[in-house]
Amino acid sequence: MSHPSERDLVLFLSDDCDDSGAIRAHVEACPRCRDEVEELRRLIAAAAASAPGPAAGFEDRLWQAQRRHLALRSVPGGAAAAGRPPAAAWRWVAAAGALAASLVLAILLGRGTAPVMPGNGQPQPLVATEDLAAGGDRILLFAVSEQLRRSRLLLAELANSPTEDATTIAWQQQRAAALVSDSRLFRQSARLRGRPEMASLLEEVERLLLEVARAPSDVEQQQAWRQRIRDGDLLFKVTAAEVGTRTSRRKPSA
Amino acid sequence: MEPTDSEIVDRARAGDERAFRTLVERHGRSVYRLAHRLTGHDGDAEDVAQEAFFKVFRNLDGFESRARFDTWLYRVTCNAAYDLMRRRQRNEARTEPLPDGSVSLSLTSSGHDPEHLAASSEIGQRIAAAMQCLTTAEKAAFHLRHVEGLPIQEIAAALGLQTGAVKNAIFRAVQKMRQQLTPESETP
Repeated sequence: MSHPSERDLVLFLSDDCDDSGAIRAHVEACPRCRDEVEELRRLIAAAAASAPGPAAGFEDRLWQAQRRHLALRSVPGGAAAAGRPPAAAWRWVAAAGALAASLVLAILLGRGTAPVMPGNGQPQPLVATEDLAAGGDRILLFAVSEQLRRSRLLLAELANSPTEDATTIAWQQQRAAALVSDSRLFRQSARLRGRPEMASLLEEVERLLLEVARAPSDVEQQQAWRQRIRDGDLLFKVTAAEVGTRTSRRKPSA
Repeated sequence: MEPTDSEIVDRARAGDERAFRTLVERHGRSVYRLAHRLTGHDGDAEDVAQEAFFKVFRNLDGFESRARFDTWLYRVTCNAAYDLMRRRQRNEARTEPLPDGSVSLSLTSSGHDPEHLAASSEIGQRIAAAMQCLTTAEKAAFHLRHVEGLPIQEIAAALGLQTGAVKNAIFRAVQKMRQQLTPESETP
């Protein structure tokens, strides 16, 4: 047998060669081809080993987001908005329509969001009953409005209130991580409901927050974050979007 | 004996929440690794993984139990990665340049195990740089064959290619990496 081609040897090492018996016999007898096979084997092994795994807690984050997403789709109109009728697989989520709204609220309440205080000083619920009954779009707008508000507060701190206190920086990073986790859910939902501009803005903010969450906790990083916020005009965009979502929520539902 | 993917999918279709979770735990890391191979970015890989599972769970009723679940999941992952990269191009999103001017490498920008980073420092970075010369199909074919161990026919189904095209993609992937790494190609 003449020397196998490079292609033959690569496919031989990929266990998908038509003539593996003959190639194996040749390689065993030919030092040149044996060396080449060994070189290719080491390369393939090194390239395969270079595939990085996810950061700690990935499976938990993945499952929590999937679980919230499945529950959010149970909101009235959610499945229909996606163009599919509810199917048997969604029975356990379809039966929990109100629970879906509650889960969104639970995300918000769990972050310590204070109750709204109107002029008469009486505490009000974070969301009116009519919002819960009005369907998925209004709940999404409310949730995104809160997400943007919390993001705005954090971005404003990062941009305008530099600190050297390591504890404060670490706390800012924790908040950023929590916002990233929620943002993915809202971004996916926005895309499903045909709001690409909302999804785009959430994505832009999320990329910065991810950097904040993962960067080393030092003062130098703050300079970079402040510059990113200013360069992208992020505070203005987030504030404008937050006002826009609040205005949309006040419009009577169709 | 552990239940097969088909059995778990059937339970998920019947509304068993634990079945959904099992699918996530069983395949989440593989999906992430493939997504990272294609996008080269930690955050993007997580996004793609989320999107892939969203889509799979949304379309579970249409999945034929006779087919392999992981093949379908990888196909959805590749499509989600393609979509994300196309959106990036359309939005002219800012990518994170490295000091040498290249993009999309993220070996040092994540919360990965420091021992992994140290072990992959030089050869790992050179391989990662060499991989940037591969097309998306070449990266996917190589990864699915030599990391996830999928047979060629399943890779063809996952990528929507003929088996001959998959073989060519695997060969070109190795050939290009070899050219980039010449004269050194030692394992770490």
